[in-house]
Amino acid sequence: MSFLPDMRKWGAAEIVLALSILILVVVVAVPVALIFITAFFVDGAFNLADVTAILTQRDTYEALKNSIIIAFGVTVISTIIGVFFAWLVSRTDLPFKGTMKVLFLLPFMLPSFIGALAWKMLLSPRSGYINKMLMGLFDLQDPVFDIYGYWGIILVESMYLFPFVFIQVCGALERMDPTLEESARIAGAGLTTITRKITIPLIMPSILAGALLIALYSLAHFGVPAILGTEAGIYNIPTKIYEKIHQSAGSFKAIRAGTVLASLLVVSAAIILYVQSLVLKSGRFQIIAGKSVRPVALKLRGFKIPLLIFSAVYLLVTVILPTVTIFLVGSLKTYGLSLDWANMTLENYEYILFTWRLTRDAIFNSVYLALSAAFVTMLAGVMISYVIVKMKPRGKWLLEFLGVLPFSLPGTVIALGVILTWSGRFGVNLYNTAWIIFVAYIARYMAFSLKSNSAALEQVHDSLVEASRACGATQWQAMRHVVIPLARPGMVAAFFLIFLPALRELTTSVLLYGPTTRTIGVAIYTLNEDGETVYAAALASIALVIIVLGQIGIKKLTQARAEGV
Amino acid sequence: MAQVSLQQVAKTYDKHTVFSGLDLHVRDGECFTLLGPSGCGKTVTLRLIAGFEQPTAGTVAIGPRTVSDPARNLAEPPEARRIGVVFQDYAVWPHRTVLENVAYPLMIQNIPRPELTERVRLAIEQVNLTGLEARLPGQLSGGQQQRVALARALVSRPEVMLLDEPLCNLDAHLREEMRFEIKELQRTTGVTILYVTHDQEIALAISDRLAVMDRAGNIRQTGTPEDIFERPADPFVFAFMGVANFIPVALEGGQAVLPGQDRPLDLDHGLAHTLSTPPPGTQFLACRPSDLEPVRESAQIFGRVRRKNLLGAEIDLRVDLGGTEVRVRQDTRQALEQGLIFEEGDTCGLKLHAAHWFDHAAENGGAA
Amino acid sequence: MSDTGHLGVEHSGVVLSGVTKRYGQVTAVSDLTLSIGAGECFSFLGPSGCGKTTTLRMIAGFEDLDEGEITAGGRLISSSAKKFYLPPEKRDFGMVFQAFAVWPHLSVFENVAFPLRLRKLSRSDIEAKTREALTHTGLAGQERAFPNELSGGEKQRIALARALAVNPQVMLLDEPLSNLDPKLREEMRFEIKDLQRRFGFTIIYVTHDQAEAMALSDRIMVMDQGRVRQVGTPLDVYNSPADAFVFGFIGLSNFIPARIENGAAHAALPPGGWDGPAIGPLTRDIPAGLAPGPVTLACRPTEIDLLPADDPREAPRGVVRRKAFLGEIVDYRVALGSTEVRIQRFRRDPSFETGQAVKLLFHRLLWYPA
Repeated sequence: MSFLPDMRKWGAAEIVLALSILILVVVVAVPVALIFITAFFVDGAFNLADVTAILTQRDTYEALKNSIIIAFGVTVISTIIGVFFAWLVSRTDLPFKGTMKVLFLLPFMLPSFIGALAWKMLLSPRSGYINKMLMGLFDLQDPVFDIYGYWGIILVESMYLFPFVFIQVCGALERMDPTLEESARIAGAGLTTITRKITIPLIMPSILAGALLIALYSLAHFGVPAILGTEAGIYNIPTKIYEKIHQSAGSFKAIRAGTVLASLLVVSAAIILYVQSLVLKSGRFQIIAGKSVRPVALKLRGFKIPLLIFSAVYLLVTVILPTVTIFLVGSLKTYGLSLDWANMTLENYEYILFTWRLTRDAIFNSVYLALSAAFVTMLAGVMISYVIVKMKPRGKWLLEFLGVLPFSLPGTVIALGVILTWSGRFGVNLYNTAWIIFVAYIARYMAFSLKSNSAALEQVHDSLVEASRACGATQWQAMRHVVIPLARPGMVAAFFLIFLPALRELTTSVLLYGPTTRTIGVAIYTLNEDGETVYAAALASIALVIIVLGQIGIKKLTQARAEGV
Repeated sequence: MAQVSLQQVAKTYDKHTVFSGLDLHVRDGECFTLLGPSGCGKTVTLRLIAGFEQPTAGTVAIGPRTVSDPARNLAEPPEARRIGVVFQDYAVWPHRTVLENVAYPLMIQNIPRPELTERVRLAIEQVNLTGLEARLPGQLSGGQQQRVALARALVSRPEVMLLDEPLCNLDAHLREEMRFEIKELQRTTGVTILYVTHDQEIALAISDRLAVMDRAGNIRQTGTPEDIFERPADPFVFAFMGVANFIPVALEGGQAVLPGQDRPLDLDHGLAHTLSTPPPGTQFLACRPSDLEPVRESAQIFGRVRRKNLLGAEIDLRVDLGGTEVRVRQDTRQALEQGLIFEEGDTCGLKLHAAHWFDHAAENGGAA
Repeated sequence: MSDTGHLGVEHSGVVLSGVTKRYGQVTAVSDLTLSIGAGECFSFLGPSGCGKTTTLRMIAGFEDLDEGEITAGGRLISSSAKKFYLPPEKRDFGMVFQAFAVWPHLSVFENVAFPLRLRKLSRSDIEAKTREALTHTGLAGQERAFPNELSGGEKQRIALARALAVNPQVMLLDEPLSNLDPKLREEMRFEIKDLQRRFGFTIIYVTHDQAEAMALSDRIMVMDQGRVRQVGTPLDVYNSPADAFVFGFIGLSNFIPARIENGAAHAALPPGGWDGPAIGPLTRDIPAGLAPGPVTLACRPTEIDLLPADDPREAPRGVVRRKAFLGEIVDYRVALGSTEVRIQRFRRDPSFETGQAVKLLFHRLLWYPA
């Protein structure tokens, strides 16, 4: 009699709950906590003096300043580009706007550090192909463009980040109740007044949400500044952390300096997220209506063709040109040769795919790590989502918080936390093994898995499960027959949401790789650093092919699913 | 089949008490409705019987078996209770075809294949879904999905069917159709039905007996539809069962004087039946809009028409009685035949067909 | 309609002549000619997709016309022939939408003041007119609130106040009450009517709810598939529906297939059933001009009495199939030959049980071609 309630207390439900908490604590909470502890405590005592010392070093606050300048510039420019194109494809009679909308999302797929690589090849002062071409054409002594610098970093990042705003604003403009604008017309307002007084204020929360996401991303971005900034001595926080740790070959002093810088990133991210939550809270306007009358598209009249050409040229320059450049350079016999047919060869591809150990390892590592991290994170995500959505335990906010925390944490910070946790401190040393990257990926992508799986599980209403219980099914049968089949689409989505970004990951793995554990991203980056530009480009081409094939695969899979139901 | 009884059941969530000391007895084979405003605890009651929730105190019994008794640590799980449940949101499984949905309870019970096929066929036929067996729920209308849910609940021949507002997501026409069908199914299968709803019209139409529950979880009255409608226990029940007029009454020498009238109400003049006289302490006369008939002669009450709305088969009049507005429902056909069409501002004589005397008005406006 | 002849003559209301609107192959509105009097409350009533909203949007200026023209207050506002369309913002109409369409980023006061600010009124005028509009719609004291702090009914009041603020001659209402609960809907109906009485504007009201149209309107236009079925007062439309569609759309209805032979109507009954002429006290005679052959008899559920089977009066016989006690009314389905007739009686009327044989006394029958 007395142990019955105890048995009930430690049923399957409690074990699952405990396991969920354990996973999140080990994978997320401990690494994050260790960063702050390492930054602020020395030998167990709170120590602010060292922190101030690190922060007052010139290169530290330079890095902070650069991070802010770059993030600011990228946010402003991406937001302008994103809002403009979103308006163009959702509110005007631009020809082919459906296709245009898809094309504007392409930069999302492409890794920005590969883009930076391409732009370096095109616009670097000494050897950039465009610079060389212009100098030859006009007989100039000095290069026209210099990609190494603030403007280069800001423009290249903007090209790849504007879809954050574009998607948000397109969604808001398309879902917005057209009668909100029509009622302003009836009230006597012309189109410009409506745009100024009604439309823009109404979509402002979406613009801001997208812009803040860009700021968050750019602030902690490694790839583009690493490729385009280091050359000119411009470091932001992530590249500075990398430099410190890399130069000192992972000494504790460097790691400690890294944690102080990482704390800065965490604080900035927290501020951005706080502002975002304020914006969303104050401005989450209900602008969506049931009746779907399509708003009358603005007639561009004389501007129609020029704007179409402008959009096409923009896409050509920002998407096609860099991609083509990567493939062409990847086929060159030697970097620096002109892009003539005679200088092309397929040997580079053959060499990195089949011969060179370093690149073969990198491809294998990336695919293997992405697959296993995606699989494990998906499974853990299903379990934790189930606990949050269906079991609704008392402390579920803690689970939710721990689950989405890494989403707002820069990849650099996660890498540092993982180093601190898994370098033997708790008896497990994974340093220089692939496992440490694996653990970091799980932490980094847990939020994706939770989002996707929670959304799917929210759709499985309690009554569906209860109906099966009332039909005579036990709890476990109900789970097997109802919950899991219905949650499967969310699981598949989670898998790919993790697999694809993990495949091209750079920021985290660049701090964690060892001699044999390079990933594709790391290999491209280090090859470029070592001046092996042609092999870097060739490997980047292969990465692009894998990514595009992956995207097509997802599309096929989700389409088949949509048609199947 | 089985009866259902709840004895002294209490349900508490943290500090919120849904009800305490609830007694409910559903007879074997009857269609019993638990009717009440939203948030009154009627759905909780149904979930206690289904076993999705456990009572804080008291016992729940289905047939001869006690299924919940916290005092004895007894809590039979839902799957052991031999019940059928139909939910408001249908709860048909979107990844299973109609056939697979309906066959599920029998599969769980490991019923042999030939018997299973036959029983599933029969259940699908009973709810008029023959021919749609291979469809997925996404390809069905709301009404058809609800029929799948009904068939699924029926197929295992439960002793008790629990229906939680199953019709409120359907349009008016379909709701009517399904109401008849549920009643018909009950007649042919003899299953005990407990139906939970906030819609008094469905409750009246479908029930053998019903119980009216208030927001505090108290059952105010239990009885047949006619009992509840014609002999309401209190103003709450009266107001909940339809559009209600509460007219303040002054008692003068045992006679009722209504506002704006110069004589006491004549209770037996020109009527087919005599109305009861107001008991001492009466404050209000309660009546339905159709209890007040506009007449040319032999009126008992006089008022001024404030609003007139032709709504189709009926005319909705708002008549002012010395500052109290009463609603009067006039049959359009009779009004036209008798030439009794009022305009706003006209004086209008009314005949009173039924009256309930109460010492207070309803706490709120009631259902309408 | 009598006053369509006034076309071309000065007309202070809204006049549509020969208006046609097509979307690709679909004709949404077909050759609509209509004249709505100044100060009239006029409803467009019909099922969804009948063209009523399209017509309203053409009057508002949101849709161009494929044929025809529209004038308001004697002024041409839309003409397909002249390719002239006065933009919506120049028409000076008030309009209220189904989804409220109040601007969530502006306070109640600023929502209502918006049209006034566009008209460049003085600060004190704006203040005064806004307050007046808010007072008339029962929103006084809520000026500083934002729409998402308010209920659906209050949001719709803001929309009304905003439309009212510029004192328009014509008010266009597009299903303004269908997002509200029934009780509020009834209340707002009265308020709209009161506002119209006070300000005298013309109301053009789009709805699919016949009770709402009847309660509110001076006249109703019943539309179906882009065509006008009937224009008339609510009583006209209820009592003398032009055709079976209008009959079926306005309230509950029964349609009984029958034949006219030898000057008498025979309900289509199975062999052995009753096949005498269906006669009620209101319609003894078959309307002139109805040729012998199949016809449809239409009647309302409230316009049929149930009599015991042994009643001496001559009337069709039926059997009660279903009975539902709904409170004030009792709803019967009675088998009359091969058709099922719905009958609604008050609860105090004599009661019949399922399975009982009865006679049906039709008080009124309407005759339509089959």
